[in-house]
Amino acid sequence: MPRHPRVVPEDNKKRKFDIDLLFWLLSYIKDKKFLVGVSVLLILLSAGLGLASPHIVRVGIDDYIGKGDYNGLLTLAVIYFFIRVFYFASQFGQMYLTAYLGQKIMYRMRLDIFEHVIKLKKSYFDKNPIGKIMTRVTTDVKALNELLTSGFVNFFSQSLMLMGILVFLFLEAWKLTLILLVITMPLLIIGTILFRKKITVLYRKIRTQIAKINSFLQESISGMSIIQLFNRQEYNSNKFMKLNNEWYNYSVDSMITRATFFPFISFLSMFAQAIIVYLGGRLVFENFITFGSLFLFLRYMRMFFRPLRQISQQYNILQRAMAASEKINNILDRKKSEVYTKEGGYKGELKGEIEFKNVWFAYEEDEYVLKDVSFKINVGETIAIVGPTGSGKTTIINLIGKFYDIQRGEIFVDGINIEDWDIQYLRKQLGIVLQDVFLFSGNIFENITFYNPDFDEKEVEELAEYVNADKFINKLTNRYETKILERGKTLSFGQRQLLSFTRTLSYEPKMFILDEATSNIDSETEKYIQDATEKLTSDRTSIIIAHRLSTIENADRILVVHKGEIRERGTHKELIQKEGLYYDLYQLQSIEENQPAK
Amino acid sequence: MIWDYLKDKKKYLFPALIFLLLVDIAQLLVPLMTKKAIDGLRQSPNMNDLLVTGLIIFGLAVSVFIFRFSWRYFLLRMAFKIVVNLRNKIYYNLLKFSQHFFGKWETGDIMARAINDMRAVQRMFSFGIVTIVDAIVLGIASLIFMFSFHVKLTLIALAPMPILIFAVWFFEDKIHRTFREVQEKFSGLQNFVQEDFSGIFVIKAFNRELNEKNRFAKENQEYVDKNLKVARLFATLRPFIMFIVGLSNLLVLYFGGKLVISGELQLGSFFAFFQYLQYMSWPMMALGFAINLYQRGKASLSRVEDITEREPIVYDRENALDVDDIDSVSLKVKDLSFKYDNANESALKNINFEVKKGESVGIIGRIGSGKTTLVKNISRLVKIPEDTIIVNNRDINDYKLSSLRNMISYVPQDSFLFSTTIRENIAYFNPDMSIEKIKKAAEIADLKDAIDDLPKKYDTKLGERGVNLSGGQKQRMTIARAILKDAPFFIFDDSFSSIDTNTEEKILNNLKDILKNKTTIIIAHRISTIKYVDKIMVLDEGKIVEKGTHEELIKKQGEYYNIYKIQELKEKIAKE
Ligand SMILES: Nc1ncnc2c1ncn2[C@@H]1O[C@H](COP(=O)(O)OP(=O)(O)OP(=O)(O)O)[C@@H](O)[C@H]1O
Ligand SMILES: Nc1ncnc2c1ncn2[C@@H]1O[C@H](COP(=O)(O)OP(=O)(O)OP(=O)(O)O)[C@@H](O)[C@H]1O
Ligand SMILES: [Mg+2]
Repeated sequence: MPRHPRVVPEDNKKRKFDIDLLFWLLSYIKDKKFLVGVSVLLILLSAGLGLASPHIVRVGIDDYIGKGDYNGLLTLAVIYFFIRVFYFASQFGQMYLTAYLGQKIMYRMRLDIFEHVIKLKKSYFDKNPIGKIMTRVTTDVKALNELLTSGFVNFFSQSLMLMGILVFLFLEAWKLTLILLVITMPLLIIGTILFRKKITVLYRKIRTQIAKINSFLQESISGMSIIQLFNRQEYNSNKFMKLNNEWYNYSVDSMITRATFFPFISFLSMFAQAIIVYLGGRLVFENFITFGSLFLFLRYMRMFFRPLRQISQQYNILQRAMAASEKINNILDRKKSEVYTKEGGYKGELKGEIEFKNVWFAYEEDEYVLKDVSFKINVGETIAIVGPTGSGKTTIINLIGKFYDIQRGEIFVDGINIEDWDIQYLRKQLGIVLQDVFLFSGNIFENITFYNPDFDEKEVEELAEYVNADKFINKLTNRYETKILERGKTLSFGQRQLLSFTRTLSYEPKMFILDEATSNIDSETEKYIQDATEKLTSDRTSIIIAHRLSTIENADRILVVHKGEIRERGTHKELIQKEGLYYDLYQLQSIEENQPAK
Repeated sequence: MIWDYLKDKKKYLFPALIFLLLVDIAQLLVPLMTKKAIDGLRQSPNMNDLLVTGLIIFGLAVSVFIFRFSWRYFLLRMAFKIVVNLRNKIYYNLLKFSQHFFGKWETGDIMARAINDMRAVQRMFSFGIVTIVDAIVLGIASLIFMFSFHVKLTLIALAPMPILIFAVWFFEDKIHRTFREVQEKFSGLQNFVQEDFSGIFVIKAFNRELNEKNRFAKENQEYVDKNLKVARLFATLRPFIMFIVGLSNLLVLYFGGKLVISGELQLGSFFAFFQYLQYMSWPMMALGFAINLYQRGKASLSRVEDITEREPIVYDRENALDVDDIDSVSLKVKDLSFKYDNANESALKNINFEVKKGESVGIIGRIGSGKTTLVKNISRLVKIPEDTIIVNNRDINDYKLSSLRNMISYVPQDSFLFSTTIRENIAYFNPDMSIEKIKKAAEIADLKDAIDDLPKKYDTKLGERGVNLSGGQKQRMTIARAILKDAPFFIFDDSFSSIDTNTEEKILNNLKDILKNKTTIIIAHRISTIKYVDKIMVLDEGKIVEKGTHEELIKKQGEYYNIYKIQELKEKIAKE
């Protein structure tokens, strides 16, 4: 039995530097330099065109209308019209391009994360709720959307705007500008620092909370009939409400932080106006600056704060994105230790010789589930593994497929240490029917072939007939095209198991491993399956785990596992004669079978 | 539809709207004040007046700050409240939905609606409202200013507006539909991910990682495509609105300029008018944003409402009763037929049988013969026709669901466990159960030794679906869970399939006492599992083909006898 699966303390992990995250984000833009360049150009263009419009109006008013130059005005109007047309075009281009870039990047990110996650070791999935891992691929990436589509680009263009306006202001009245900056900048900087400190913590909490809600929801949906049968609706809905309320509280907190920060920027803008009105007026009064330049100054100053406000909003988006990418990064970080793909391992045709040499294995540290297990299976042999529940039978299978790493000892496949095998290649040749049946949503055909395009309909139908699965499939609405839902929840349990069995057969593996493959299947169907497998496995190594001794009648040799050790081994006959563990199990069963009813 | 959510949130909405208005007013006042100051400067320069104006602006700045904070505070709180309520409502509804719903909906899809769509809803109810209010208030205000300033120029400025109205009308519907598609694709993505991560073991065992990545890439691409479709719409709409604003400027510049040149209008007024015209551009832009937020929110809200507005199919009827004799159960099934919504054939056909108080029934039959469906019917996990199942002499539909389920201890075929402690899993029926009772239940299910071997014993946390247990351990956990509930009616659905015969024998022996006076249904594939029952039914293709005691059925030499023979034969061969 296990120790409790330690949830990886991802959320308490020391935070990475923002800079690292930023670089990670930027690494996705690297090969999109051209498009980024174009989009920056378009931004500049549309910013320029945007600024040109008021300028033209001013020229029109000052130079033509004021002077009564009618023709000039007409020409100008035409120019203005074209500028607006170009403005439209450049804005369209810029908006679409940035969206395009953002989508492409997110596409890549999702794919990368997905690929990374499905390559993580099985143990990672044992320990982390699916709902939580999911949010990394879907919602967290989505949280980067804003940053990628508008964030970076806006940040850039607004900064440019800001700079431009600043230059303008300086040229217009450098003293006033200086005063303006001296008064507002320190306040702005302090405000930003305080804001950042508070908001990052809150955003992180919100993200974690969303993942929790996600996991809880996902588990509740999967276990709904249990919840209902055990009348746990009230308890669960209270729990859900509690999770939701926590989310609400964090959200309100973060809202209050933002609701202080953003209005603060606007406040600075007005505050500056008040000062300019007073000081500027004074300067005009004392003839330091002209009246006109004060007027202009006030106008541009308002323009100065608009990009500033925008930038601060982008900053907020950035913080939010950081909280999300932090979580994503935590997953991507588990590179070396938790990913399996070992390049360049042994790639040979599997013959089917398995040897365990003094194997010790624990799922959780020091909780040994297999203790000093040694055995050898020869090519072409049929081996049965029997033993009471929880003795470690499935675990042995898990190790043959190298789904977990052993602590001590060695495992050889075809005489080659399993560590040296190319795992993908090995697994491809193993045909494992897992104890836990899992089907995918899709149709029956896709489930039997598991999306392997090398099959045609006839082959699949023949195979189904072979194991007697055709009987129920033919009764379904669209036969092999019938869509089944996740986990095959619209099929009976036995039907699911039969499909999962057929799926393994369809892959024509070099070696069969059947872990309780017929436990939910009736005797008659089981007989068909057994006959079929016998034919298919006659020349191949096969390992069969079964609780009914009757299912293992054809085994060449039997291994009896008890509490993680192999306690007996030999042929059926030998074990009976030995009058040990196997004999006990066997005796018992034959007694029941002889007097089945009261 | 949207107002329904705002109705009971007036105490947030109205203050928020008032503060929003105040912000807008105060903001309009600021340029007026600066204008006043400048005009004052031009006419009679006076430092005192200047100071006063400066201070007024400062005062306005402070109040705008407060107003701004306040509308956010009220409005966002409202939006969060709406979201929390909706999400709770989703969950609450899910708890009431039967297998009819879960047989059709995928987990990832439901989750996408509860999390992802909520975000759009939240934005609609917060920033959506703000931008709409902004657009309206500022739009009207600047219209008023403009009209009061110069009617003719204003009319000129408004000339291109019909085009805008047409464009908005044209785009709105498109945008709504495309958003819905985007959200649906997101659901697809979420589903895919949830499923692949749940089935990761199979993917690994079949070495299908690369293949799954490619399949994911396809889903991913579709989602991106839909998003780009939206992007195209917005990249058109928003600049188009700006283009209209530009047209409006152009017309004013040209025709207004003409008026000035012809002397009908003073240059100063014309200049001032232009200033007001600039105020128009913000509400126009806000309009673009508002459409975005609103359509997005509406599309998502309708997806959420697919769940929140759905009525459960299995529910307590009015005046539903508690089961009166909760200590014993008799059951009568009369002409029960049942068909799954998406199936061709009925899963159950004219089922008739009776179980007396304290009796036990074994059900055996081929895979897919309807055994599970039958017990699902009896526990009303699906909707069943009137007067087909009678429990304690009353139609099962008359009872309250909670009361009915309180009297059933059900061990489902799928050994589903929750990711909490062993203790909580066993005591799932009642978390306050004493540890002694939990231990007792574990002992009966032959789990005691296994749990005692664990360092944390009963406080050991399980992974999702109990991944860190062996198949047999999981199954025994579900047996222990049902034992602890100790209801008068036990249902075992293939509950010993992953347990070795030795242990099964032990558990069945332990159960004998407990089940003595209880009504019991045991579904099994092995004859050995149902050997203690009072009568046996053989199901085939949804019909009861045989009924009777073991001896009777053996004598009959029918279906049951065949199964018996197959199993006996195998045992014989095994024995040599
Ligand atoms: N993923 C896991 N993490 C931690 N412990 C595990 C995990 N899987 C199995 N165990 C534990 O390892 C032990 C052996 O489990 P295993 O699944 O190999 O048993 P088994 O012999 O196949 O039993 P059964 O007949 O019930 O399927 C059990 O005590 C189980 O609780
Ligand atoms: N949710 C569902 N939607 C549609 N059809 C279903 C659904 N659940 C089961 N069925 C079908 O109804 C029939 C009866 O299924 P049921 O689960 O009752 O079989 P069973 O006798 O319990 O089989 P097993 O021994 O395999 O568990 C099967 O043909 C199955 O495919
Ligand atoms: Mg069943």
